[in-house]
Amino acid sequence: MSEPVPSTRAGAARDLARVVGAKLAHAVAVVFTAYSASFFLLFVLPGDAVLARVGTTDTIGSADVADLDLDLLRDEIGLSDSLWTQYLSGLAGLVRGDLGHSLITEQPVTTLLGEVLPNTITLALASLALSVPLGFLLAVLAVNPRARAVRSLASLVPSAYVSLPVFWVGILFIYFFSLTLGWFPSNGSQGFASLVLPTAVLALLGAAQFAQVLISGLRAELGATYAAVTAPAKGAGRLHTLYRHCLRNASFPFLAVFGLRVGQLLGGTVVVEVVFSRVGLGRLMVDSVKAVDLTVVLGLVVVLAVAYVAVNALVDIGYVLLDPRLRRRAASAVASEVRA
Amino acid sequence: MKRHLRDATGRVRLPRRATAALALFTSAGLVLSGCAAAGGGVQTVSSTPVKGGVLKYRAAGGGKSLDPATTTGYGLAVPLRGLVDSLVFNNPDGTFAPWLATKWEVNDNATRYAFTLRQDVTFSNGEKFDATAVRLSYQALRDGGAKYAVANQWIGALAQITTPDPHTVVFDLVKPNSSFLQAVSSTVLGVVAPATARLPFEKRQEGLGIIGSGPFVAAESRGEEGYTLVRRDDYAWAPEPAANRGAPYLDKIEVRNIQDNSIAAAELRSGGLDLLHNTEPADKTEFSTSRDITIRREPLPGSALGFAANTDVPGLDDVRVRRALALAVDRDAVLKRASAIDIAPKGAYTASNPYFTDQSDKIRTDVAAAERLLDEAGWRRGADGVRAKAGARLSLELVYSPSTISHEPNIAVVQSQWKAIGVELKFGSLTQAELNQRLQSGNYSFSWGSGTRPDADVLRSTYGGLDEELDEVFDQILAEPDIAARKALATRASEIVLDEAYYIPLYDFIQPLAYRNSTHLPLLEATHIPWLGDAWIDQQ
Repeated sequence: MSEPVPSTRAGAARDLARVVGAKLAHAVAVVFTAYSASFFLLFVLPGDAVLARVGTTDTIGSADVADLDLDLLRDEIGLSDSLWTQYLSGLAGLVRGDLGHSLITEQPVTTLLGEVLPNTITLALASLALSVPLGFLLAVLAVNPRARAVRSLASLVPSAYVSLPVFWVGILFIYFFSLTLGWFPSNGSQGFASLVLPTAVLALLGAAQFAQVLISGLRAELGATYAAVTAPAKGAGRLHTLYRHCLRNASFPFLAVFGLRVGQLLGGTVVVEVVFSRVGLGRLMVDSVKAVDLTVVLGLVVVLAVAYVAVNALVDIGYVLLDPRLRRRAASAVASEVRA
Repeated sequence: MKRHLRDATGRVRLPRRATAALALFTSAGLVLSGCAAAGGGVQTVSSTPVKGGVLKYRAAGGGKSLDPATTTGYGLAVPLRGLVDSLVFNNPDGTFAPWLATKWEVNDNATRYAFTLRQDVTFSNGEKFDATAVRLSYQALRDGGAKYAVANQWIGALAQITTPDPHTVVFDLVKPNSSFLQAVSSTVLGVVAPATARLPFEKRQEGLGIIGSGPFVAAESRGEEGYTLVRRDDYAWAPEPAANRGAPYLDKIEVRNIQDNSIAAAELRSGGLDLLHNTEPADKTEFSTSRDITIRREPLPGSALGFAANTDVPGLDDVRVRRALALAVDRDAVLKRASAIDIAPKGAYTASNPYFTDQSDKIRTDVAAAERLLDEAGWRRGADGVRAKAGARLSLELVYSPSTISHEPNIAVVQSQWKAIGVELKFGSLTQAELNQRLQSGNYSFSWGSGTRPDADVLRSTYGGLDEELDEVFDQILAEPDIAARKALATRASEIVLDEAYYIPLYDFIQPLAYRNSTHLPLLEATHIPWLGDAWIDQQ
């Protein structure tokens, strides 16, 4: 046990600044590394954006493609510069906040990001807002009710749902709710109605993932001495023990999975975006990689890296909020550093 | 479900929505049997056009660009045909009709094209259509260079565009290009307003920057998800073959870039779409017997689908090997795996190309002769069953883009047929960038020959540079503006391509439009793109 540390207000502010500074340095390192790694990896891809732009052999034959002189276009969009020149100018642009222009459509990368981000963020937030309470509900249903049938069902459903391919669930939803019942549109991202089906698919998946970790966490906690022996001995009811004691402890693995889920929702919803024909970050990423559109891919990598760093920071804060020990430990660590 | 309907066969028929849903359900991986509604495929033709209505159209793989000059694929060009007009209209028989140009003159060797323009045409932003507008529209594409690779390839070597008076525009070409009129008639070379011509490339690719003189005007862009065109009420310069001289019948055309083919097909069945491009083989087969839906059964005009040989590759440099490979293909077996509506090839051009002649006697199967030819050429079977010569195995690779993936089961049939004569075939799809890289560097054995252009020149773009005699015929085609004379030359070109087995045709692929029978498309241009000014939808 550490002794209480006397700390002045100025000291606290300094400590905070130091923590924030360290986090920011970490964030910059992550973005820089992600950018550099992606940049050099992309050059392994066969072909380049200019070749992707030329068109298909349906409209221009293979003999025509073989004869095309594309060097002028490569010069124009900067693809004939040396690898290092391209890398350094890309980095310089990044520092200025300029992500460059698409090598395919020549539009600013920030414009393209601005078009897809609102869609992706709306979908991610809506599905998270539903999946967190639903996940907790399922987890509680899987451990609390007296009826064994309810518990088994509630613990079976998440594992079953997680093992279904997302595209298949999406197509099934379209079949039921869009084509058969006509309640919601099957495609596009215009208006609230178009948000319902993709949100449902993703929210259910998130809820199932959350429920899985919560269920195993809750089971472990409910079996622990404090919950199985101490609390009942003190006269606490099962539900009280579950809510007041176990849920908090079981939430740590949940928080880790939550962080991962946010990442998945930002970059990995491409299947849902394709099935529901929505514009979004994931689809832009896949299309850009296929077209070897380096600048757009790098812009997306930067956005995703920043998002991951931010989410990780939020998860860290969440840990601290959940566990008072972490707060004390952090404070004492800072204090001992200050003393030294 | 309220009630069950009975069709002529006495079978219980489910309502349309349920049928659509069932079909989708099946394609989603669950097998339900005995529920598919069978129809006679009878199309009710109502002859009176109806004004009003929205045409809901889906094209595969659309981006957000509305620029006809960069939209070179068939499906994406269909709605844009309503946005921009062209100088001439290309009839399905290969002839040309007046449109924005009332008449035109071509010199004897197809190096000078002079168009006389209509004087009553305006662009939808109010700008006047005249010779200068045409010049600016074309000049913008020339200045863009490789950014408009297809457009410039079609235009050919342009020396200059002159405008002797406000209603005459003259194109002078450095080299003969008798395909120029066909190029001019295409959506890709549709005339845009000076305001659009002045835009830099990236501005043309976004939003509603494309202003044309067409019967429809771009009104709303939903980014990658699609866009909406609305009727232009003062439109009065339809192409000459059009029955409707004035404003189009349709109020709107709504273009939806639905990504997944089976979902799009289900939307067509349920009435969520009126017109659809790109269909999976299973849906094609089903549409061909549907009573609600018509699928066009004419192949897109161009060259038949098949393998185009790279004659620089060991083995394929020998005509005996190429002929053996062609003889070893049993097309009936391949067609059995293809959709029910694809048809056997009868030449190097598809049967719907205006320059097609039936050469089906040149497309034969004779496995014994194939084996003999390979033996003769010195390729002997090795221990692994694959023929080899001087240490090199007869292992060939076919390359194609992802749009060809639905053909893979049919290609696999060829693979097994060739395996039987000791030839290994590898195939796989590449990204567009990688495919073009391989084609440029010559690192492939076969490319997927699939040119779509209703013109004699479509063969040159794939088989140019292989053969001196063939190149000479191609040059003669380009220097010959007369359609009958071009057709004779095209027949000769197709003959050489098949005799020398530069090309191994598999089938005339049907990938055209499918539409609900309430949708009417009375006029098509030679590319098989419908003229939407005449299209209408029955109102219920």
